[in-house]
Amino acid sequence: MTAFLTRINYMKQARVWVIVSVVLSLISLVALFTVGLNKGLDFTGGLLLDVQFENQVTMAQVQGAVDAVVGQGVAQVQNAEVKGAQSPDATEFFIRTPELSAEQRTELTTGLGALGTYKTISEDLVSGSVSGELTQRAILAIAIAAILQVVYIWIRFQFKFGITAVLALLHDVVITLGLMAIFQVQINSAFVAAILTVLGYSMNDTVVVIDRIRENLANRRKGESLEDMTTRSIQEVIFRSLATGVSVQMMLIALLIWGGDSIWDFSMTLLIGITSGTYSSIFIAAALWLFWEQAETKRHKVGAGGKPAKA
Amino acid sequence: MKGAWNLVALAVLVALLGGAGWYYASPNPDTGKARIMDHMKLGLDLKGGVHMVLEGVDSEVGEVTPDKIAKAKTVIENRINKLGVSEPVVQIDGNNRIIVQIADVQDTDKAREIIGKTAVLKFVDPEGNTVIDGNDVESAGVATAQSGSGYVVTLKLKGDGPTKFFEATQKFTGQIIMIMLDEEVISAPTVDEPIPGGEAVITGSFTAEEASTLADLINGGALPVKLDVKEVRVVTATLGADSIAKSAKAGLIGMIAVLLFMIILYRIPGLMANIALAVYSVLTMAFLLAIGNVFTLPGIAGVLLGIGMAVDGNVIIFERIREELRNGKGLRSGIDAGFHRAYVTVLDSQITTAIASAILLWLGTGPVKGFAITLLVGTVLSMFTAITFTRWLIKLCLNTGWFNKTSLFGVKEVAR
Repeated sequence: MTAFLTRINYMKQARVWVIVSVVLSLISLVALFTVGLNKGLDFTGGLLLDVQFENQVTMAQVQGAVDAVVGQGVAQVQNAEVKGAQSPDATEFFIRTPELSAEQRTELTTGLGALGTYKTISEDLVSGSVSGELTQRAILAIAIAAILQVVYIWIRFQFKFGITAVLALLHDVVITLGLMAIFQVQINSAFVAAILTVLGYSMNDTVVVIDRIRENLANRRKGESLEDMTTRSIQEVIFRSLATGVSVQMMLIALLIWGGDSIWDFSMTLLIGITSGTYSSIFIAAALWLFWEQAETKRHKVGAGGKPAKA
Repeated sequence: MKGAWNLVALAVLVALLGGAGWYYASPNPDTGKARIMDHMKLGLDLKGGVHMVLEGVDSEVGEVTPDKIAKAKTVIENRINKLGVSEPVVQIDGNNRIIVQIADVQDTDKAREIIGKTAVLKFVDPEGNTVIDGNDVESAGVATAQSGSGYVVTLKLKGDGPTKFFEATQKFTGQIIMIMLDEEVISAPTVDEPIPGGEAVITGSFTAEEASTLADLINGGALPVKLDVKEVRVVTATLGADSIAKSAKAGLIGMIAVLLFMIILYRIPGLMANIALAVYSVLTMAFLLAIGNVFTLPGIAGVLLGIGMAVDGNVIIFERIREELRNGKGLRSGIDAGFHRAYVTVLDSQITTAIASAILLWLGTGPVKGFAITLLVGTVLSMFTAITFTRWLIKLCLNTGWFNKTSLFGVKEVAR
């Protein structure tokens, strides 16, 4: 396993991988702008109820009671997993409606009460203005985090690494968002935390790769081309990248399977983002840096006919 | 001799960790829950409760001023105290918002209703003038209706109240005086005769509970501004307990998988890393408990992710050591060189995560903040444990004299 991983010539087909990534990113962007994200309550405002009836109630009955208050076609009712009920007949539903007035809210309570004795397992009510603020703060947080990380890489490494690292970051965020849109995974405020974690992880992983490239660049072997040096750097860190990736993924898969409804979306976002992050460190950050460096070397050679560029 | 002492130190450490882990994971006989739960402050999403964000809006009740928001806060506190819940949190957020958090409340619907009601009480005469309002009321109580069935709310008036009420009932004898709460008519009794003495009664077909709720609202006082409900989060204790059980199970399974993975990949150092991981987990929990962190579901996710980051620190270091060994370095110098060269990488990579979590802590709201704080604490502590503690542990192992084989690092052949 180890031997196999360290013998792959990673940069040989780098162009192909970069093209694959660009295509995937484009598909993601198209999905984002056409299908769009399945925005949860935190971003749209409205009411989300999780109600548990002691008796057998059908989804149609609940839908009817809800529609009687808010009108047809605006509210969604879904079956929910029955949590901690005493009665074996208990049924549980998620109800999502647009923002309700206080009177409508009371009517809804009465309407549901007519179907049987029930209790509210959870309720989330978010007004439109609050959800707008959440979205704004989310975008702001992501932008600031990304900028600060570039600055950090710029200071600690070099400008080119900063830019390629950020391109890798963007790639991860776009792919994650795109998959969320394609599979219509619902996003809420914890999603912002997930995206930021993906940013942090992706950067973390990229740093380990570029750190090795920087080190090997300073101690290049005699006659070793830039491409060979980059490939060697990746061969040296690939095992670590995968070991870490797999450790985190194992934790996330455990959360997906056993963690319950409440954190499923969150874990799924992280799983996609972190898998993408591991991939992009090698095939985006390292590959783009190599192309850039190669192009510059060529230009110097052609232009001044002199020394190759040194970082 | 030195080797023996190191072995003792190692054994004591493992015994301490194991003992502490066993003690805190075992159930407290009084509560039936793991002992660590006695020390953890849980967020509303885990223990159940009501979280509300109310925003003052200009209306006929009054314009929004910081003074009135402060007064509204007191009114809400009074009302919540009537609910008899423990440790309610009522705080002002910004200029015009009030955040209310109540745990262990049984009837969440009632709580929500009581907190949100403006509760402006008015007695209005047939000409549309306000005779008395909530400010004229000294106290409200509940009594059985004289008609026999149902309950009424009794009011004891204060100040000019009794006089004003007497004059009005004198003037409008035989007519209707409406009793309104928040512009809604709750009762419209006919005045049979002038009422002296400052006692008024709100009739209506109240149940005992409705009457006492209304009396509580009046006693708590009216809100000086209209408050709009901006956000409500209600979680029942059942759901909270369900979430704890599930994430604990998932976390445990994930942890075991990671621990096994480390041993399979790295053998003895993997085992050492696992001990370091246990120390890291204990430190993180101790720190979070010490700063009084409130654990929420995203917060627990942050702790778990921090464990992943801590594993990474160790992986980076071990890979480096392996490389040094493959390149022909001896065990001791290989370990030294490995740590020396790897720690910059660990720092650089962890600092980027720390930056992201610090931004979240700064800009995030509610659940996001809970996640950020645990991830930040975890990242910072993992830098410490991976660099210092794992190193000390590996040296300790070597000094016992039992593990002097490079093959234990998973390095098969050493090219010297």
